[in-house]
This record gives sequence, C-alpha cells and structure tokens, in this order.
Amino acid sequence: MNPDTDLKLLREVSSDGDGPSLEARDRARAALLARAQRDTRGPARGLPRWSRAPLRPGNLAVVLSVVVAIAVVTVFLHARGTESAGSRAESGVQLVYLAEPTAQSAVTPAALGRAVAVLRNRVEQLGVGSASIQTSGANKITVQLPDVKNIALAEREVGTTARLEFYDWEANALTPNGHTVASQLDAQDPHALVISQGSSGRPGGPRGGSMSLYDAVKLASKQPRSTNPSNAWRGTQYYLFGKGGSPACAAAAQKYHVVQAGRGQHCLLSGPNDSQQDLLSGLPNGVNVSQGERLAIKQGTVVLEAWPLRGAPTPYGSPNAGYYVLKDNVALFGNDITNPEASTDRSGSPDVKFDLTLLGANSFQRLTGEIARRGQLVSGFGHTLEQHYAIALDNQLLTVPPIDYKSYPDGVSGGGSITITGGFNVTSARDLVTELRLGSLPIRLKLISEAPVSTTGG
Amino acid sequence: MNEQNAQESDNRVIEESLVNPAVFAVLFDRHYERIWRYACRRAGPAVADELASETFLRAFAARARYDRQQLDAGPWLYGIATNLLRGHRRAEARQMRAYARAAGPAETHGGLDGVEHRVDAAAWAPSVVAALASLKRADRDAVLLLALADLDYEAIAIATGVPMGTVRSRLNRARRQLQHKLGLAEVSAGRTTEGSHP
Repeated sequence: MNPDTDLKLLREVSSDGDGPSLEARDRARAALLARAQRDTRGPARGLPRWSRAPLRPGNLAVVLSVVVAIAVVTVFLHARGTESAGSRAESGVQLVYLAEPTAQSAVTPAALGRAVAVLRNRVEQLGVGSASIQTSGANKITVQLPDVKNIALAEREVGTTARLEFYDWEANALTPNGHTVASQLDAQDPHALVISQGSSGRPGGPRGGSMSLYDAVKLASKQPRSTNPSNAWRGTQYYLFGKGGSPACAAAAQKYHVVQAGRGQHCLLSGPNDSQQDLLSGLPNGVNVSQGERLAIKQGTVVLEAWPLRGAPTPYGSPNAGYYVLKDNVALFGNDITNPEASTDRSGSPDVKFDLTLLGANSFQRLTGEIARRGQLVSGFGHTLEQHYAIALDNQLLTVPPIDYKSYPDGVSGGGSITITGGFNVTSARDLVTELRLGSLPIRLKLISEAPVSTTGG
Repeated sequence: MNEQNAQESDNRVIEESLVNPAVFAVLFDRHYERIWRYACRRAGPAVADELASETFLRAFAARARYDRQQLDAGPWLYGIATNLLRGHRRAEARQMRAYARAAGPAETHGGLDGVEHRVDAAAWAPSVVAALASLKRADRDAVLLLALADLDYEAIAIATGVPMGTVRSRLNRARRQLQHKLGLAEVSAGRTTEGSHP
C-alpha cells in the first residue's frame, strides 16, 4: 500500500464541495476593503510616522505639488501687494471649496496639496489671468479669480475634479424595468440586448438603449440604497427637473448654455447636488423650487452620460444627450492609473495608453476575468454575445470595450499597458491624458461660498 | 495571476499595503479560495465563509508584523485560519461526524473509477474520523495542514509558529498513530514520506 495512504484518505474523506460561493467571496472582500478604507484614514499601527510613506515617484509628485502650491501662494501675495499699489482690476469672483473625503481617500494635507495643483492647472486652462489658490485650515481651498468674466463657467470648470471609473458594463447597467442587463440576457430581453450590444455594435452610445436624463434619474431614484466601498458616490444625489417649454427651463438653458428642452421633455434646473440646500442655491435666477420636480438618487446607483457622437462633448443635462443607469460598483478607480500617454494606433487614430498600479492591475484582471466568464456563459453555439467593461470620466462614458472571452478566458492581464481606443480625436485624447495626470483626484471639492471680488486699486 | 502580480511576491504586496491599505486585496484575491477550501474541509461551508473572511481581517490587522523575508504569505494565512478553527471546535466535530455518517458516494470525480474511489473513501470515513479525533490538537493541526493544505514541513512550521524539529516529531507521531488505527501501519512500516517534504 502507498505510504501516503493516510494523507490520501484524509483528503478523500473530507470535502470542499464546489468551493466558495461568489456571494461569500464578495462579502469577505468588501469587509476587507471596508477595513482597509478605515485604515487609510489613520496611520498603520506599529510603524514610525515617517517610515510609512517611502519617497517614491508618486509621493515625490505630491511633495512637489505642495512645494509648487506654497511658491504660488508666495508669488500671489507679492503680486497682490503690487496690485494694491495702484492697478485697477475688473470685478471677479472668490470661490471657497470644502474638501470632502470620498470612498477612496481621506482629506489629508497631501490630498489638499494635490487639489491645489489641479485647480491651478484648470485656472490656467481658463485663461483668466492672475489668480490665487490657497488652502485655509485643514479642509478648505480658496480660489480668487479677479479677472474672470463668465462666473458660471469658471465655477463649473474650476471646481470639477476629474474622476475616472471602470465598471463591469452588463453586470451594472440597468434596463428600464430596473434589472441588470446581465440578468436579462438569457431571457433575450430586447432592452438588455440593445444596452449590452449597442445599436451599431458599440454599446454605451447615445442611441444604444440610452434614455433622457430625466428618465434615467427617475429610474435611478427608484433603486434601493446599497452601500459598499466600491461606490464612487457617497450619500444621496439630488436633482431638480422642470417641464420643457416652461420659463424655468428657459432660464436653465441660458444658465447652463444648453439647448432649451421642448414640450414633453424635461430640463435640469439644478443638481446633481449632495444636499437639498445646495440644490436650491444652484437654481437659475428667478426660478424657485416649486417650479420643478425633485428627484433623489440613493447611494449605490449612478447615472452615466452616453459617449458623445463624433467625440463632440454635449453639455451635461442637454436634451440631446443620452444616459444610462448603473449600479455604482466600481471595479477600478482613476487613482490606480499611472503614466497616462496620448498616442496613435497603427492606423494613425488617436488613443490613450496607461499603466496600472499593483492593485489596479489585480482589479483589472479580476474585472475582465469575470466579464470573460460571463461572455462564455451567455454566448451559445454559433453565436457570440460580447460582454464589456465601461470607462467613465466624470460620469460620462468614454468607451465601452468588449472582452474577447475566447482569447482571454481568464481576463486580461493588467500588468502591461492598457490602451483605450475609439472615439478620440487628437485634442480629446490629449485632454484625457491631462485630466488623468492632473485631475484624477480622489477627494471631492464642494463649493461652499461664492462672493464677488472687486479689487479696485487705490 | 497576471504577469505583474506574478512578479510582485506576497511580502512586497504586504509592504505596499502598509502605505496603501487597499493593496491588501491583492493578497485576498490570491489566497482566499485555498483558505476557504481548507476551512471548509475542516469545519464545513458555513463556518468556512465566516472563517476565511475573518482570516483576512486578522491578517490585515497584523500585517505590520509579517515576516517580510517570507515571499509566500500562504503559510501565515493558514496559521491564522488554523488558530481561528480552535474557536469552532463544535462545528469541526459536527463536520467530522457528518463525514463519518456519509455512507455512500456523496459525489463523484472522474467517471467510474472515481465512483469506486469514493465508495472506498466512504467506507473508510468512520475509522478515519475516529483516528483523527484520537490525535492531540497540535498533532491534528500539523497533519491536516500537510494533508488538506498541502504545506511542506517548513511551511507548517511557519503556520504553527514552532521549530521544524517540533513539526517533524508531531507529524511522525500523528501519522504513526493514524496508520496504526487505520491498520496501515504494518504495510508501510519503516517507510516515511518525510523525504518528499523536506
């Protein structure tokens, strides 16, 4: 008899069944990530404070951005001294932002420093001449734009922090009846099929099963609250919609520079905001809350705008744009991206390449592996139903690429460079790279005060 | 596992997780399933769900104390799981009784041969369970880490936090006892398998 028979018998007698269930695994992973998230806010125990963050290129960038921010503030103070000595500036605006933690990061001095660098870059892109950006206290950033003319535009551009997220498309996108697309593919639900496959073979576009912003928010507002560490959004998001053709919608079209909604449509009067007070303060002049319908999306659901036709951006809330409702389960966040670069593919079309951090590479393989396994399950003999992941920037879909389950049955390695192709022109590819380099911020900036600045010289 | 992850050994991941705690999820993705399977074989699927999850939470909390010379975190995780199993003695005993009661081929692997194999295993089950129950706790842990987790002597020493010599004597004692109770001792007398597990 084999000398290892005793060990063999121990293995044969016991059983591990079919292995762990996906639900148990996901629950355990979520519990671990929640613990890790709590730990992000406080230093790891048992290590001296400065040994926790060795100076690596990424950290170096943060340190440099803080140094740059300090230098900028110094220059500004000097410049202001000169200004008060006799120049005559036009009236502008002072914006005060409150930095808020997100699911990915706490508000730390490093995160604030990085936010200042991002804001500076945005202000430069606005081309509004002299500007001052400085932190105050532990969680506030004050932006002074003395020469800005279009205050509404400045407000929209400056405080927006670019957020890039990867989603499993079919597992999270909802059909109009509120089911996930993936759950309806077996039943050949026509809505699910068109959202999954797109109207012209490219899902996530303005025509492939998308809906109006109002319909999307309405559907999203019916979804239950579901909180987990992979949510990109925390708390409830409020929207206020007006009826197309109303004076309120006319005022909104003027404020947001969008086409006016026609009769039978709805227009966005205010939002999305994470407090009702902000929703009210964002209303166009002369419009009050009774002129609109308030809708609230609870944490766990997100509305994404379709990728635009021919790469032309559509203003958020435009009646011509299409929207999708997704469960807000992000597989990979923008802060997992490193070394973004704009380049061109073999045919000369612009694309964007980037690498992933260790965690990002792991998440990417996990995401694409799950998609590949689902692709194999839903595709039958002789027909292929490609499954996809979605990349969204600031809640707008950039692209929804398929995973070829035959070539990548275990998913795509995140170890090499990832390339996003399709839908770019040279400018939009370069802009995305700029956003990824400078704007992929984990913290959120909430505008808490806006005051006119009149720097008339003496 | 992808190329980049293959290059990043577990100790490197743990080190990185001290700066960026979420990176610990990489370790979870690598080891969760085998820890779950080990826990399931010992205490059943319901306990395995809870125990595997708790193993990673404990490991996360203790990551600053991880011996960073060790490239593979598997033995460390099995050690945590084994310690946690001590809090589930009743569940473990229940699971063992269930194995002993399994009178027929509960599941099949690999066609007809597999069926015959399972019939054999099922016939052995009551005596295997009884033999296992007669072992000292530390000896049982060692032999189950060898048989169910497929750890070698060195890894068992890391998992249980005792020197290699202690592991060797525990395994010798446990296996001698098992083989004796199962009536295998006469056949395999004088032949140990230590050589294959240096």
